[in-house]
Amino acid sequence: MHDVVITGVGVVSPLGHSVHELTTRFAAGECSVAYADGGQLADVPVAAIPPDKRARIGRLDRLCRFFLAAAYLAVEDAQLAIDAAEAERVGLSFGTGFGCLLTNAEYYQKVVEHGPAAASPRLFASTVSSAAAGEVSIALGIKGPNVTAHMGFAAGLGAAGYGFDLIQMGKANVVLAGGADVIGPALLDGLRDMGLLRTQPAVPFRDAVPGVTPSEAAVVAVLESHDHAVRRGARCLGRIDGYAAGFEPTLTRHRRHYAGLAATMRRALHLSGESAARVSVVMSSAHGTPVDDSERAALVEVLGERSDVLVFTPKRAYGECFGAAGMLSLALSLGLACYDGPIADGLGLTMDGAPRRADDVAARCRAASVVMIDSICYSGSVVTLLLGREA
Amino acid sequence: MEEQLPRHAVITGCGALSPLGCGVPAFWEGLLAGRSGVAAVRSFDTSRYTHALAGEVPDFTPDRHLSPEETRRLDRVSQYALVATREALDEARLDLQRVDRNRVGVILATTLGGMLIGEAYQHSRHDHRPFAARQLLHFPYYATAPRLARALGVRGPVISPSIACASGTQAVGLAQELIRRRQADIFIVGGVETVCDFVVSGFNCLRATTATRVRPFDAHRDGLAVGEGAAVLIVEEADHARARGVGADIEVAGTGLAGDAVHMTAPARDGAGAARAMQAALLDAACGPQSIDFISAHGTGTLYNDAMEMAAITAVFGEAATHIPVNSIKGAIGHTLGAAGSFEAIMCVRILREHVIPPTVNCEQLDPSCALDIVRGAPRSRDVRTALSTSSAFAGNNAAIVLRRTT
Repeated sequence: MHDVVITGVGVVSPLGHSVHELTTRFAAGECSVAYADGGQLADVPVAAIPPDKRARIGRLDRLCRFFLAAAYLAVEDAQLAIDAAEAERVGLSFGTGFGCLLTNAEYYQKVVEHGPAAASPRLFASTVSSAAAGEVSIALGIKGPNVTAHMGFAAGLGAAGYGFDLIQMGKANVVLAGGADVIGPALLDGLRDMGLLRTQPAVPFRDAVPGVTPSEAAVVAVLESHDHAVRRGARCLGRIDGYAAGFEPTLTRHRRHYAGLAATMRRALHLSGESAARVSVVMSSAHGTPVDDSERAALVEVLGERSDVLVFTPKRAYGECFGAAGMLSLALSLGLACYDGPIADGLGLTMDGAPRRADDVAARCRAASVVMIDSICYSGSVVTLLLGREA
Repeated sequence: MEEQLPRHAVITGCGALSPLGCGVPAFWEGLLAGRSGVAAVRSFDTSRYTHALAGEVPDFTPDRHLSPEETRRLDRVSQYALVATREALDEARLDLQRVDRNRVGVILATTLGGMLIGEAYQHSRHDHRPFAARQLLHFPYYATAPRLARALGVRGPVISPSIACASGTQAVGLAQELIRRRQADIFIVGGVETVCDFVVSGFNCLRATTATRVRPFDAHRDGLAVGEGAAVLIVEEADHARARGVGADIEVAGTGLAGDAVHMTAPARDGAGAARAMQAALLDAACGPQSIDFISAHGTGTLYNDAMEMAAITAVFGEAATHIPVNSIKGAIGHTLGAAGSFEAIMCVRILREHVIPPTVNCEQLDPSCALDIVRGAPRSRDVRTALSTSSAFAGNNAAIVLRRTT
């Protein structure tokens, strides 16, 4: 089996467009949510896209723009050149929650209002969720396996897991893996009509109210076989030890359980060859809904109520980024591992509820050997990924 | 980590709800008889279209297959998926209460998902009519597979592959890969779609639809017609199946994926991406092109797709391409989009077991540029041991799988 390392990350998020900026602003205790900030949506970082490719941007929908920008940032961060000789050994694994839903709505609204004659071929071409990965493959010349999958809000982290699989199976040397979701009128209208739209972030593990504070992001990680990374002299930011995908069928009910979540966490540990005792940092999926209780119970069952496990709840800082959320946690994990600035009070919870000093939190992040990242969707889908720090 | 024995994925059950009728027997017998389930759309008003043909599931009566609660609570796409799943579980003799449900997952491909709900919502907003907004929870693409997983009570991976019209093939391949990777022992795998205004308008505006009949590889082919239904397979780790006393005679032996990286809606004219996906599937199955006895083509009946596939198959098989039987079932059931590859996988299972290949419906005057051995006119008897099924899609996605008889 090939060891799989991360050699670059591209981030487009409410807390900045790099791992460093995301980490610094998170550590400072900042909170920035795309919708809660007055409904102003973030600009796509066009500067990330080479000038000769920008003409194409104007024709793309918002999801494609976000994912394309994150892909360019990731490739630049990894200093990866995709030449024709290796294009067939480079893959793409993309996960998204809502995918092309906004474009679907825009396309069909014209049909509803003006009839089939008003249907736009350009919009219809983007009414597949694979359009974003397709655009990236065309822009970067990627000709290996190219997949898009929906796993609800767990999709981005699931895409990283499948990218890990592709490399371990020997089907690719490099995989650009990531998640993206964006917000727009159709999503906000739908959430509002369902009574599930919150405009201010909830406090994870404290609030337990239905609904989300919608936000948006795209994150792409360059995954690479360790040998390939070494051959080209790439810097290794971290190592994926393994992952598991699972399901908890009761998360949409009033009486929720957590067996599926705990089983997924245990399977991730087993498939990674890791023990629960080596996990010292958890990036939680909690976002202030009743589902948080199920995650808490699963973590307690799998890891125990240990004082030496730090639990971060990053969604309090940037809201619910849906299919990008798990990948934001991954990016943040990598950033915190080498962050030597101050960390604001209250950012790292402990499994036993004991308070921690901020300098102790920072030191523990830098020393952590295994990070557990959870990504959970209310629909029941869950992905747990284990990130090793040393390559 | 300690070295572990390789795992193999086999198909132990199939279920189908297609434009040829309810159940795999109706699907298979319809294919063999050369019937077409493609006709004028009946499920919604098409008076605004100059032509609107589709393959719709005939006479689907939910309460004949589902409980009153299921009939009431589930939308059409979920009903289709559940009916096909139950047939597949029956054939696999799989009682989910008697297996570890942490080791059972769902991989359900769809390009439309709960689109009927989305359409109703947009019409209600336009017309200022009331709408039960909670239905929208079942609208996103990711919602259909979890709905099936909840109905079955499974706790393994639940995934909706979304590489457009190649999703149904990738779903079967993904199950094989994840079983090999020990993520689960059993996957309920397939694809499901419902014909709707959204997709009919879309392919019409692309000028990709036929005004007459779907005629794959025919000299006069003029486009596709969408189709609907559900195709579900039980893909199971081979030793797990044998331990249950179930036949493990059909293996999902190889999976290959590749991107064109050329155009968002048109296939690469040289078929290079499709060819690479087929070669990757052959490599994964550890078999050479000479092992392939049958090819299930994507065969949409559009000018460019079919020409692309002729080039791709020729590139992979060379001279041998002229004598490997090839068919397409799009003339029989329409283009079932995200479900297409799963329907084709079910057909391959029957071909491998029954040694007969259904004809390509409506392929009457073979495209003179086609050097492939297109099966047409009547079923062809052939002892097929290894079959290749290939799909291509928007965004330049290509997927191929190799299915192999093990006995």
